[in-house]
Amino acid sequence: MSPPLLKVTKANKVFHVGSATVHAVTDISLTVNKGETVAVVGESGSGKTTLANLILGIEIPTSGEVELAGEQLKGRRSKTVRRKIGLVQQNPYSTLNPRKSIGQAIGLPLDVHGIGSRAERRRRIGELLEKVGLNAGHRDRRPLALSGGQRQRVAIARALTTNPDLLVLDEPTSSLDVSVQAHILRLLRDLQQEFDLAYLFITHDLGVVRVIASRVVVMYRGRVVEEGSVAAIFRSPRHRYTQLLLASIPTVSEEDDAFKPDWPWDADVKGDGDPAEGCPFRSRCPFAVERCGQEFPDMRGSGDHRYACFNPRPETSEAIVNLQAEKLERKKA
Amino acid sequence: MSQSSARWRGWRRFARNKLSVLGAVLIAIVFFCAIFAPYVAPYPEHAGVVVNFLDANQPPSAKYWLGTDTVGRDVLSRIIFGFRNSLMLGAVVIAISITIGTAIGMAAAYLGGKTELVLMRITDIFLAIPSLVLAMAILGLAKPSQLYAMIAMATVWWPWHARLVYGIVRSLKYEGFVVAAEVVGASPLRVMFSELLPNCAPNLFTKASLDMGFVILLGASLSFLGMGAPPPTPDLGTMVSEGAQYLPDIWWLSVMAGMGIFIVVLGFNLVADGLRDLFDIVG
Repeated sequence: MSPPLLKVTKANKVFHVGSATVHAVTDISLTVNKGETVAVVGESGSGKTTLANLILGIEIPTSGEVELAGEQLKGRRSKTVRRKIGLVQQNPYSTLNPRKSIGQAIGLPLDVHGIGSRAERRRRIGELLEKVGLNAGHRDRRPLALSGGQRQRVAIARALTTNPDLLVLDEPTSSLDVSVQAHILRLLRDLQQEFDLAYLFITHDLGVVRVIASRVVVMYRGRVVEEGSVAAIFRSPRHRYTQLLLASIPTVSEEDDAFKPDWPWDADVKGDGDPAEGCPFRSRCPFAVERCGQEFPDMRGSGDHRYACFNPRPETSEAIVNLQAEKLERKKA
Repeated sequence: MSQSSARWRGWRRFARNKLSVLGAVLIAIVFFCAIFAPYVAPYPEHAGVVVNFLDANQPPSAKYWLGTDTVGRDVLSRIIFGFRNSLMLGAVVIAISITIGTAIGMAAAYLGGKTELVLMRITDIFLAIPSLVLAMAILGLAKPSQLYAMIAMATVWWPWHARLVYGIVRSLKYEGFVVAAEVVGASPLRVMFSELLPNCAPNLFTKASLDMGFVILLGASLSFLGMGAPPPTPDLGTMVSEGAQYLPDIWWLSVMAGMGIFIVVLGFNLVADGLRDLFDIVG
């Protein structure tokens, strides 16, 4: 079997801020295969962006490995490697240089890598603009003249310039209007099919995950607490933090509501705040057992769905799914 | 369409402030006089060594609009040639200090770490010494000439530009577009000069216009102290200084040359205000 496109193994990143040390990311392992979308979810400060930075080579891991298509990435990245990974950032208002035209922004990777003649670059820029639903006429515009959604399309076009295999999408839709979000997500899905792209999709919006991702990695305080297929995790979250996350999705209809796990407890941090040892979630977890304070649990579960919890939520059985459906029927009646 | 209409909008915004239009007019006149000095000045030969004791110490009259000096040279002609000198001095000093200041401020802010520490402490040391004193100290090492005056003034002036660029780049270096360029593999030089520098340009233009006035003033101060261009070069600062000994009887020497300095400095300051509105710079 060929190696996965992206493989992160036991990556750690420790920052020293003055005299304090911050473990931004602890023992993170994940894989992304060609053409698939892996969503990384977690609240702010959970290490999602640090993980992205390690993959992009903006930060160097304190320990652990990052491999791209079987090749270990160490030290300075070669241009060939840089071409294979594209980035789409969160804030469409800062992602484009206000002093440069759209064409210059999209052409930057071509300039840097010395690809193509002037005419070829011009053609490629026009072609990319069409691919992301803009047109060649946008080439000479300034970012100031574009809406947030259009800027994000330009950012996607720029990420695609070098024909990458992997796009790191760092909350690409979270600062857009909901109606625009849907367009961008559809565009991303179309582009994925057309170019056989793999996405590492960082987000805190589980609604978006469900639409776009095939697998989910749930992070909490720099650790992976649960990972699995979207279907498995949405149907039957095992880690208590995932349970809390799913329970907090706002829903429109009672129909949706009936299928959400419950979380009637207070979810605020209590006690000693941020524990150094053991499971970082235990100060918020009503199910914490003694062992949770002593060590961080190893990942357990099967290949398709793994979680790190000593006292996991019981698996959602067919019976419960049926029960929920019944409950819903009764409410309707 | 977008290009020309943007330019028009820019001019409208600049012109909203009537004073900055006045400044632009003043500067335009000064520049015109400076460039075409030999044609504009009523007695162009008076810019050099001319002695005409018959007409010495004449008050302003129809023949000599702004009077004559102690050796009978036309003050107006000398002021017009003095503009030439002042503008040249200002332009050269600002060009040098923007180049040095931008390079140092940019490198310090973008590269960070030890580079930042060393470069910015050096900048601070220069800023801590009063500019006139430092310029005089430097000029004390050389004989007075226009060239040395320019070098001395550029030496005291670049730290301001370094500070300005440093501040801007520090606030921009974590912006998305900078990170995006780095991720693609752009070299530090490309990021600094192609991505960051264009974002410093509006502030640099405004500062240059504001500084033009101050540099000319500093140049005049140095000349006043006898450290500028040596005679017979017409220099506004030297003229004020020489005229000062004959105050108040032959008042027009100092006052007229002083007015010349005043007009140039005022013009550049007013234009700087307009540029600030134009580029929407806060502060």
